[in-house]
Amino acid sequence: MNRTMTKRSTGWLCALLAGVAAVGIVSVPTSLAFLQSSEQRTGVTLTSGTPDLSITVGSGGAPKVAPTPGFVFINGAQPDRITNTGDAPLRLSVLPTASTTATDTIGGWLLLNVSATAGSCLEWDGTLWTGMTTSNTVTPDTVILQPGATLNLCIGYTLQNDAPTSIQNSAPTSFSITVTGTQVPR
Amino acid sequence: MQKITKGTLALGAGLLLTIGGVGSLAFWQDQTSTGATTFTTGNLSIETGAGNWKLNTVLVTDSTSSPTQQQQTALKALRIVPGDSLAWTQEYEVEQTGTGLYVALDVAIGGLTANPANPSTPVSSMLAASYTIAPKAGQTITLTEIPTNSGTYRVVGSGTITVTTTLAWPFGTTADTSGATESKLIDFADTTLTLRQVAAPGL
Repeated sequence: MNRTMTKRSTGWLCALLAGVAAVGIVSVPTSLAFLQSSEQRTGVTLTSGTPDLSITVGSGGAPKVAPTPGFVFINGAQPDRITNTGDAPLRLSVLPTASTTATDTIGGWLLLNVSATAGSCLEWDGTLWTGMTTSNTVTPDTVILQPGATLNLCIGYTLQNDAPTSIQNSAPTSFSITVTGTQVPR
Repeated sequence: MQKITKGTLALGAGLLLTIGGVGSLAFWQDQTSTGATTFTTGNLSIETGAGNWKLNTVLVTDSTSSPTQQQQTALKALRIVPGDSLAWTQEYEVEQTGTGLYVALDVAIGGLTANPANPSTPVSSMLAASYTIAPKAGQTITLTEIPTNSGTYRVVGSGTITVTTTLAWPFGTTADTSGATESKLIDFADTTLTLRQVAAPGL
C-alpha cells in the first residue's frame, strides 16, 4: 500500500516537473532577448545649383558719331546691365574683341575702358578694365557679382590722340565684349 | 471472571493507552520568513531631440521652428555649389538604467545617391559625407568608439549626445564648364542610430 502511494507521488512529481520545464521552454524566446532602442531621421533631397550670367544690352552701347582723335564716348545713359542669375557668386572678367586691330583701321587705335558698378555710368567711377585685344582677358578681375545682383557695365571708347590721318574714313570696325563669370566660394 | 468483565477491563486499558499516546506522537517545529522582494527591469531608450541644418555656418532650418516636412522643403530649395558645406546637427536623448548594463551605439549615416542615378557623374565627385559624435556640452555621458568596429560606440551613462553630419562639396582646382554637376538632385538617405545592450563592455 505504501509503495503504491510512493510510486503515484513520484509520478505526479515527474509530471509536474515536466510541465514546469515545458512552460520554461515556451517562455524562452522572450527571456533570451536584449534591450534595444533605435531612432531614424528621414533623409532629404538636395539640389545642385547653376552658374549663370545674363546681360541686358542697353541702347547706348556704341558711339553714334564718327570719332576723332581724343574722342571719348561712354555709354552712360543706358548702359548694359549684367545680372548673376545663377546660384554662386561669380568673379567677372572681360574680353573685348574687335573685328580687326590692324593699325590702318580704327580698330587699331581705339582704347576700351570698362567698369562694372552699382552706380550710374554717368558718374564714371574709375576704369576696371582697359585695353583692346582679340586674345587676352583684360585685367584686373576683382569684381564679384553675388547671386541675384546686377551691375551696370560702363563702357568707354577713346580714339587715341596719335591716331594717324590714314584711318580717316576707314572701314567700320565691330566690337564685342565677352563677360565671363568664374565661380568663387561663397 | 466473567467474559463481560474481562472484555470491559481490556477496553478500559486500551482507552488509557490511547489517551496516554497523544502527547508522545508530536514533533518540534519553528518558523521564520523574509520579506517579499520586488524586482524592476532596467530600460534603454534613444529619442530624437533638437536639430538644425546650416549652409556654410548660416542657419537654413531647424526642428524647433519647422516641422520635418518644412525642413525638407527648405533643404530641397537650396542650390548647393562647389565650395559649399552643409552641416546637419542633431541631438539625441540617451537613457539607460540597469545594473551591469553594457550599451553600444551603432551610427549609420545615410548614403548619398544621385536622383536619378547618373553613373557618368557620380555623386562622389561632388559631395562627401562625414560625421562627428560627442556628448552635448555639460553632459556626463561618455562615448568611446570601439577600435575594431567603426561606427559603434560604447556608451556609459545617460544624457544628450550631438551628431554633426557634414556634406561637403570641395572647391576644385580646375573650371568645369560641362554642366554635368549642375541642377542635379542628390538624395541623402535616412540616418539611423541604434542603442543596444551588449553582453560585455567592448562588444
